Amino acid sequence: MTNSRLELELDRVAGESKVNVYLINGEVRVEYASQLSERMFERLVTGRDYRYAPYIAARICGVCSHAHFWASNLAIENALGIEVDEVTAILRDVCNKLQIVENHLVYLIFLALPDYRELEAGIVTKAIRARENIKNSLNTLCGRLSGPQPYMPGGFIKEISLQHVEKTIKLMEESVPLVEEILEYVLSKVNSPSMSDPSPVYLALSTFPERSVPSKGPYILVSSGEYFTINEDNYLNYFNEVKSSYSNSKACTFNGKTFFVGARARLLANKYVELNSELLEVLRCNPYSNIVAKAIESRYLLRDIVYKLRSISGKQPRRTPPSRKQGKGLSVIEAPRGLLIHFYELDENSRIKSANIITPTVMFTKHVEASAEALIKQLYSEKNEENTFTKYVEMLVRSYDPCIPCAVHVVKVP
Amino acid sequence: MKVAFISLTGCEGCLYNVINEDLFNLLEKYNAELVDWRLLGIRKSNEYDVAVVEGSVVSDENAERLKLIREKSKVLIALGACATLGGVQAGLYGENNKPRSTPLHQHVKVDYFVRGCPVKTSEFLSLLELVLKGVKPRVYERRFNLVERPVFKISDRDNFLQLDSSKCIVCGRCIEVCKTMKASVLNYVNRGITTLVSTPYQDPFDKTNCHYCGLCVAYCPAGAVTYKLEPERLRRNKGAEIYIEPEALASLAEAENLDVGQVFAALRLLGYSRIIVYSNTTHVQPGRIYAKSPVEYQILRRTYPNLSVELLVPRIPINAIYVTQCTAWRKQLGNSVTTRELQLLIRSIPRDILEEERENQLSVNLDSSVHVVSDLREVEKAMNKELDHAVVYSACPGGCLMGGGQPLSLGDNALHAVYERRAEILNKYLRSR
Repeated sequence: MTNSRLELELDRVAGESKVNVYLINGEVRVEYASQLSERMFERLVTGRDYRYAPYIAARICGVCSHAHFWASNLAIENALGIEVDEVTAILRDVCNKLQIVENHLVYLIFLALPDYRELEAGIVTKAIRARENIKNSLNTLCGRLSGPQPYMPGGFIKEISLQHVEKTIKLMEESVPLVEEILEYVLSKVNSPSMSDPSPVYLALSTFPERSVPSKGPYILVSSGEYFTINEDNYLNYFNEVKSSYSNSKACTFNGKTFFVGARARLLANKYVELNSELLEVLRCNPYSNIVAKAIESRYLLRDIVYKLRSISGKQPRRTPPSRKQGKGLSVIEAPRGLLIHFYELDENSRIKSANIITPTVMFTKHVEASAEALIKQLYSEKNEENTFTKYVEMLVRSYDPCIPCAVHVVKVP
Repeated sequence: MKVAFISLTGCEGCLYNVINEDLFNLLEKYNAELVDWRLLGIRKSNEYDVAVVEGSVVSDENAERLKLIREKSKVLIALGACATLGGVQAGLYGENNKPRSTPLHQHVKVDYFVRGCPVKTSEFLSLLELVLKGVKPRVYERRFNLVERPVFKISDRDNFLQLDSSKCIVCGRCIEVCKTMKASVLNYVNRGITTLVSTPYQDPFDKTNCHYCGLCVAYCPAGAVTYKLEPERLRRNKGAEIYIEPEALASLAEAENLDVGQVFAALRLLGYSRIIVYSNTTHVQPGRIYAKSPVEYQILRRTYPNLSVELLVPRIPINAIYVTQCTAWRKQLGNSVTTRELQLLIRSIPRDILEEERENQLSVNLDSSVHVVSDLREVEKAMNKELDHAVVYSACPGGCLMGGGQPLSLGDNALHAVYERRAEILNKYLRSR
């Protein structure tokens, strides 16, 4: 192993990012750097009326804007003491889950699977068709795919009629067989390269998938079998954000440990699907298996969406007025790529005094670096060619599905 | 054709939205090749014909990259709100209080713009289809281009009345008043964001119906319609008599917040020894219908061709100066000035040297046997019966007090407030006589 430095520019990732690999005196160091410029959304929302925050937050990321929109609404509702009714909570949950499945499909077909094999045209068409169905239903329920504005703190402002719900159910039922085929394809055709996770700490909300979030805090997180209760006062004790010199985004640790979030963490933490022990072991130890977890989750969530929408049975969402003017509010939700935390503090005029947003990509950045280091060491011990290991590193980073627009939303609020 | 989809600083939502079966079908139909799309892992070539750029320019790296893209591409399409306007991140300000985020067209030439946050996919695809076909999308000009409002100036042969469209804010007040004065010369032209106010086919005013009432000048809040101001006319015949209309006197006093006597003092200071308050209604004879100015004369002649109307020409000596509220007379008579022109001179006099002047050697004959009407229905009534008084038709809303040559009022600019103040001054003056 000679001293060298390697720069890998990543394609097929939302946003631009770079992996720097340093090989110095037998030590491996990996830096995962976001290439997009900083966008400072927390400074954009501070000083504004609370009603603006969700609409601005939805522009953090065009890929998972529903998650940001919902999280922002929820945090403000918690700050203002609003407790929304059951139907509103279910409909919002459904919108988020639709976005999760849509993101997973795009990830599988366009981003991840081309690493493993030449795709058959049939499977791509099916995925596009399923995605188109989900896009249509999101258009029906929320108006659009990215930058949604169907509700505000307190409840829906868009009318959700019975026809809308029925159309969504119909579209989802059409998509279930398509997604099942994609799952089969992934399970049968994808062979993850073998490697072991250097830090198998994962974090997910305990209420997933029944709810992507409980309607009100405190939030219970599961990390490798342990439970943590977090609220607006103590969340910063657990999550520690650090700005690195080489990247435009921050990186985050949980109780001082590197950890990962996302579909694999949700599946491992809540075990909502019966899995055989072999597959469970692969999921636990192999970061590459995130792609399998995403496929499994997509199928599960589609059925869950249909079930949830049926349970509404024609009831209309109501609006709830705020019960106080100022306060602090935290929300933790399950976004497509993992946990998403929004925190707002409102002053006596209900203007935003301070804000903090921790995104999934920020959370797993350290874990990406750690597992890439482990992978490179492993590959060197197996004496692989250099060009194959760049391929494996790229595949590894891609398997986490990083979202760079989310990651660079932030710098420290002065 | 080689097509590239490139993202600068933004949320990637627009490009994410246009990933679509229709897009791939479209590219296949026109034999276009995707050569650069990092999200989909395509990076075949650095040379391309069409570059679709999403996101705004935040850093110098962004700007350099954008310049490179422009050099390589034949057609550059700005996609979404960040690329066309700067996006949400433009809400933050950096050094020198400039927005941190700037749209593409501030750095390079952009051929087409697709707006929206996020863009509408079908709208983008329809543009892309035209570009791939090689058709210049003329029909969609306004949707895909930055709009430049046409700038023109309308005038007449003497350059008396001028309309400068670059100052126009399209409020439409001149159009309303032009209709009220039964000329309907000015009206809206074009549609949507390019709407402007113009005469038909941008004809000069003397080729249209315009009878120079000048109310468009008086009502324009932006100074887009003006008439040629020549205050030096007043200096030309210095020392001569000055004939001033009572309405002009009242409005001048109101506009400059002076007393009527102070106006006289000011006129004296300007070098006019003999001031005559004069109204052209002094020459009327009972039983006849008169037009106060050429405006009314033209309106009556157009409306009732068989009516015998007499124009009340002011009887002013050739070397005297006539101060009038009426822009039409100002246009017709060489020795007349409007109140607005006189106001310019009076403003140059310091206030404290104007002492109120009580004694006056004014000869004015305001006869009560004159009925001034401003409604055509009143004229119609008068046409059909024997009259024991004279009828003078004055078309300006509010009478000559609010005529086209009125001065700019300094106080509360609401029209009714201005009118009430002037009317009070005029009544007070008439009562004192």
